[in-house]
Amino acid sequence: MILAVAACSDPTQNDDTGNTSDEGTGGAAEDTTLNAYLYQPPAANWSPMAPASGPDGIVMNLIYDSLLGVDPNYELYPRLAADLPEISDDGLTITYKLKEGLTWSDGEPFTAEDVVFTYNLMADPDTGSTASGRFADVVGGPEVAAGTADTVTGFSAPDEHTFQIQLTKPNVGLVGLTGNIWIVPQHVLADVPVDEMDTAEFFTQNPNVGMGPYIFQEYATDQYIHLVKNPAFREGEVDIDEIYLRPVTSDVATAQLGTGEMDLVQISAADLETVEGLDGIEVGSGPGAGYIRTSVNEKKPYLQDPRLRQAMLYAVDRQQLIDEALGGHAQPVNASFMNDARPDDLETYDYDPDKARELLAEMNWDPNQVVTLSWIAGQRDRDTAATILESQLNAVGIKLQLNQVQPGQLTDMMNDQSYDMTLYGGGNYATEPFAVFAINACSTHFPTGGNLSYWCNEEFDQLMLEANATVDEAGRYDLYQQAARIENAEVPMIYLYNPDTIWAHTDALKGFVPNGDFTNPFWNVQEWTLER
Amino acid sequence: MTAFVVRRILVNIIVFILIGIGVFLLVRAAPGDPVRMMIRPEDLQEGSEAFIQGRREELGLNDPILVQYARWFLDALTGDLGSSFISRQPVSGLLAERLGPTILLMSTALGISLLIAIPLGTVAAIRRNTSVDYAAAALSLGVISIPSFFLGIVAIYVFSLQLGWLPSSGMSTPGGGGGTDVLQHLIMPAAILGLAGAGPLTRYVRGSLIDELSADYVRTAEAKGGSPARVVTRHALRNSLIPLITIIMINIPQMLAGAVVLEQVFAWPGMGQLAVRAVTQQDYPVIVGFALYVAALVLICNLIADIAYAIVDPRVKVS
Repeated sequence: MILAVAACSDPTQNDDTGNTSDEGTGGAAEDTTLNAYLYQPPAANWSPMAPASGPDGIVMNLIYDSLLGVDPNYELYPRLAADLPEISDDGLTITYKLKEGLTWSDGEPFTAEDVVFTYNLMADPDTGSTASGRFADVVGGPEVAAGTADTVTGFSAPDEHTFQIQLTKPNVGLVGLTGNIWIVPQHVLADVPVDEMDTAEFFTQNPNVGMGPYIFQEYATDQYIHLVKNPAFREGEVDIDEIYLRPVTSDVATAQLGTGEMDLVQISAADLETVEGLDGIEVGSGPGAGYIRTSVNEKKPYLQDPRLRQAMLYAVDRQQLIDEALGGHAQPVNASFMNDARPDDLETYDYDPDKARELLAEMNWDPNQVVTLSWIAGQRDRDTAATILESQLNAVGIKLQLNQVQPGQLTDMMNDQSYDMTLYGGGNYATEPFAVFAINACSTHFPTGGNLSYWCNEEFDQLMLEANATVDEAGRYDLYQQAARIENAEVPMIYLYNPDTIWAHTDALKGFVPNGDFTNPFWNVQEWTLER
Repeated sequence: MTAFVVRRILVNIIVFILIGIGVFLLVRAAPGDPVRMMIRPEDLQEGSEAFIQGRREELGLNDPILVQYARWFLDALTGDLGSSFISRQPVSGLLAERLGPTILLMSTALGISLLIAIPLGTVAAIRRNTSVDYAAAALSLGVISIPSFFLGIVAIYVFSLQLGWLPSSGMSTPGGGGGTDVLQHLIMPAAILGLAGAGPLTRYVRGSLIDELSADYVRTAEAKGGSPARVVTRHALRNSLIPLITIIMINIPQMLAGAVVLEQVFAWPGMGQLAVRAVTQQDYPVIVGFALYVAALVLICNLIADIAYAIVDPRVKVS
């Protein structure tokens, strides 16, 4: 059964590696153990409500499960749900049918009540949830967020295998933005007071009951997280018996790939050449879910003209930047929208310094106006991006000065709106286009949302909201594409690049399909085998 | 003597409290906001603000700073140093679980330092200005100049990657374990730290022994017909090690604060990594807890040194 699924083709990997499974390690061990790299030690709070933390997310993806998952094409697919949810014609009811006959890793039955319980925790800021605002359109959601009600009336379980969300107004994006919430066991957590949920022993010490392919065993501080396979996993027991997730530096991880101490590592483009030279190591990659960008603070009078931002885009040779900083392993970006929400006819702002000078002349840009770019230094690609921005913007007559800051300083600068430009990256816009609303709308200016350019375009907002209320998929994506064209023309931020996530693994590992979302390398772990 | 010790302890307690106040205030005066930093700007959404305000309230960050300090101080008196803002685990637990690995690594490293420094420094002092002395000088200056993380990476390359003799990182083999296993993991980081520490110690041993060798009592011992070996080991070396003890005492708090870079290279679960992460995340309770841990070590080691001096030299009591 597992083999049948594993046969699904993976376009990024060649199957011509031949039989290398005879290089066994000599041990008579029947257990198969996979050692995987964590890029930093976990915060060790494995609560779905806790603020997002990459390494902890990797663990939670293994020990918990969710209604929906996201595949490497950034498409939603059902996990605990039997299918993608049904949205009523009026857009006000979202209905998930759950797979039947599933049990938690401790043998208790899994029901829709667990889902209702978990979604209620997520909607309640008292649990430490950072995402309560996602449920503003759910009936009773705002009351729970405000603390005037305990449970969200809009979450219900009409029967054991049905989970329903009632909305006050249509919100199609809710599916993509909340379908991947990790479901936690009600029978374990029901007695924990809501306001003590973030310090519950289950989340901070021993999250050993879940629906995921693996069960949490132990966290040896700063050394490894030990997971063993879950016999009750919905797709049956997985093949690889144990996983150790080990936080080490990337240098050591790369070395350990060579010694065989590590089987799966996320590597940087800079290490790619070294890793490709190792025997018995395969490499795969996928485009990331977010992108690196520079916000331009439109609260500053001298940064408000869209022609200035267009000029900046024309002035920067982004392909050169990608080649220099990332060895070509990234794509230039021209809008926040990705995949189907991005129309084909966007302006690509190819490198054209003359055009940049023209635009600047047209708007009477003052060449003596100093513009400061503040960023948190220390990541190679971003540091290179900053220096290239400096030289190429100066070349067209924009006096850009670089300003390296500490994370705390940048937070203060954001609170004071005192920066001119800031370089950063991340986010996830590849699955649900409505995620772009949080970084571009008039109502999501920092700190309410992530709009750090303080850009505001009523028409854009209108299109986004209309799209999110449109149940018909074709109509919805048409609206998103219209919004994308406005964003692309107005350039609220200097789009730079969407970096690939690169994975290297032992060729004994079969079935691995590289995922661009670096928090989810194990998305299809049930199809993996380790043949050594 | 008792009065002296009691007085020193009281002074130390006052100093300790003042350090606590200083760190508590300084940490909060740094730019940034630990709660706001929990959510990356691009992840902000409606509702994030509710979380931020709720969490600030819960962590008591909205209260006047003196109220915050008083609350923290009263809790600290009962041994409760608060909980990490990030992981929500008690600070005392976070420190305690890293204390063992830190002590293991650092005491082994110190032992290695002494095993290298004392014989090497002694030989260098006796054979002053010979090729042996110059070689010892070159070696100690070499290990002082080469950063230990570089030695670490080279050692991993050679002993793990090329020769395959030693595991490259961690404190134990996942799932394996046992004393020999820990020992194998310990060898490289401890040897590198020990080597780095041996550099300056060798110089101290050499210098101190040269001073002693020119002292009158050494000439007397030689005149009485003591063999050169006996004169050095029984008389001169013993006395020359007294200043060494002071230097080691001063170094102990620094060692137990962790070796951040090397811990990271070898994925050793020590204090240094905890402290650095706490600083970058502005995890106030962990930073304050760590600072107080180091302060306590410094004060205790100084106290021990003071008392030891008082025992050795009765004149200290008077001052």
